Amino acid sequence: MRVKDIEYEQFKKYVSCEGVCLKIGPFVVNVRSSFPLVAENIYQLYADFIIELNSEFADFYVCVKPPAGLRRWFRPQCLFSFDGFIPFKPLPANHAFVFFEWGLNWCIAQFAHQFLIIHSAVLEKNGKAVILPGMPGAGKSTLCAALALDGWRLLSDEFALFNPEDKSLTPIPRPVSLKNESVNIIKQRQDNIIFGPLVENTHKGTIALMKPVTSYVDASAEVACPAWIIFPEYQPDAESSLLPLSKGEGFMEVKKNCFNYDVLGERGFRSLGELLNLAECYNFSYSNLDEALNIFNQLALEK
Amino acid sequence: MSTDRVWLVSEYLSPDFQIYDEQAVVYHCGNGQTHLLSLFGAEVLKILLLKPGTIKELTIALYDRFDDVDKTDVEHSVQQFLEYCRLLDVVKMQPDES
Repeated sequence: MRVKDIEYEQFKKYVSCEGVCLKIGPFVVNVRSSFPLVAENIYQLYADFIIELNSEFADFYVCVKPPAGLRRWFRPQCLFSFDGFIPFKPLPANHAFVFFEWGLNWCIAQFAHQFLIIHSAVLEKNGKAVILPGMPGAGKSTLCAALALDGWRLLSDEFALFNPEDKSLTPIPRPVSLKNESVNIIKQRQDNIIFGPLVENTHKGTIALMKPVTSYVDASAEVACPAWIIFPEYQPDAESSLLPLSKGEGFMEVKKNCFNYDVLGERGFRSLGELLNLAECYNFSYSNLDEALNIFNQLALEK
Repeated sequence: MSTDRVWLVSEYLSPDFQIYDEQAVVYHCGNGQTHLLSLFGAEVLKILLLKPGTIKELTIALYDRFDDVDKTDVEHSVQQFLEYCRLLDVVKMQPDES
């Protein structure tokens, strides 16, 4: 059963009481929240995800709830908890849904050590996947959203989950988080994109989440083979340029973007080595998305 | 630095070097540090992994592998590289038994 197969009122009731178990990529996530904002946004942006109503197990039990005391009513706030543990300071209540997203990111980065986890977008075309690692502000999510709208299958906007056992990338196609000017840039590219509401004044600026296309969610179990690691950098007025990067330097750059390289120790080193053996590395600077898409599509044809 | 002392790879160095076209990446299992090396450095370590050796022995072995290098500089380069790697605990000198 998918989220959209349940009546909204019923779904909201589940979320606010025992929580709902969502199948998100390789994980089952139990989400509970008394904030209607959380249920509304999940219902809209996770509409195509599988819901497991009677699941007895979840990888992550997360909850977004109001704090005790005055902050329930005066300048209301929300808290994120994981297995009853509260890892972060509270945020304004109107950030409840993005807090769920960020909190879930934290859970994955902290605990999914069966994978080498790289902070990056991942997309696939013709059976080959591109990993786009990038620090915040590099233009990673904007490029990722544009590629996903142009026929590249979205595996993730946030994580490359590299499985060293079978040398594949596991999809986790959640909503794409766009920030500030990127929201309108992507909105203007197609009419039928579904966005959640704008969330203003977050520590990342104004945020809107873009719903992933149904077919990408349906393909969540289809792993992909890494072919390219491309470090994007948005540079105003720059001509698009894709320049090869040596694998040694690529290794060191990817390492900087790994969440759990140090946790995995020697296994992380070997895993990253395996990944670099499979993928070519490039630096990519761009300012024009259409030019960028042409370059990526050309690359997909060549490999 | 004496050129007669025998050098060997630290027991902390992961034997799974990642060697790419002109570079190598090595991992120190003790302190978790990762180092990017030139191919020259990777060759020195590969030779040492096969058999500990003196700077002179390493220099001779390297002559065969790098035809186009200025051979007068090789010994000095090996010395510098080993000293650098010793500070990183990637290589060490065999204890002097005399």
